[in-house]
Amino acid sequence: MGETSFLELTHGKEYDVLSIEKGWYRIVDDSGEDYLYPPDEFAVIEGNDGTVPVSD
Amino acid sequence: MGGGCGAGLDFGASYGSGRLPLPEALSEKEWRIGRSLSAAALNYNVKDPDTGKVYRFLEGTTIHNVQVFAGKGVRNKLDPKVAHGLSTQIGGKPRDWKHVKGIGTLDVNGRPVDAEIHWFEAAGQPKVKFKVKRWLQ
Repeated sequence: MGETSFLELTHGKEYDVLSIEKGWYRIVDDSGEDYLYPPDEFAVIEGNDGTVPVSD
Repeated sequence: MGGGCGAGLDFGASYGSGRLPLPEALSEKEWRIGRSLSAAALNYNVKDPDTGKVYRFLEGTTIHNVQVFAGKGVRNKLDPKVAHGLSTQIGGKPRDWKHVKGIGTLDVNGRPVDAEIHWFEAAGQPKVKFKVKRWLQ
């Protein structure tokens, strides 16, 4: 979802969620580093099967 | 005997070469998210002028513990692709861009939460690519 943005996210690209922290997704973005992004930036393709840690 | 002035002090080869080693990090002045015109507004949106993305910093929050951790003035350099990309897309010279971190308060689902924020900046250019590295509480 959203627009492609240099060093951030690419529209249509799939990202693995490393963890969910306060509802935000930690992903390795296009800068190659992991950052937290609000969930409304994404459409979930595959739900959490319990392997993605969730913290508040 | 006498050892003379400065005996025992070893300034290292960097002084002899006329160059000081660059620090790993460089502190910068804190900065404040200005108050909006509406006193009723609880939050202040920080818009990344490059992406249009809006982050909701709390109004009046001060971005503190500001440190440059990569790029101009410190030991760790920016990835040349990153520096050139910022220069091309935003402006300035690639060598002037810095990766900076600080602590600020964001509105997360209506709650104020402190976070470590990363962004890029260069002299004469806007601060861009605000990202949340971690929540601090």
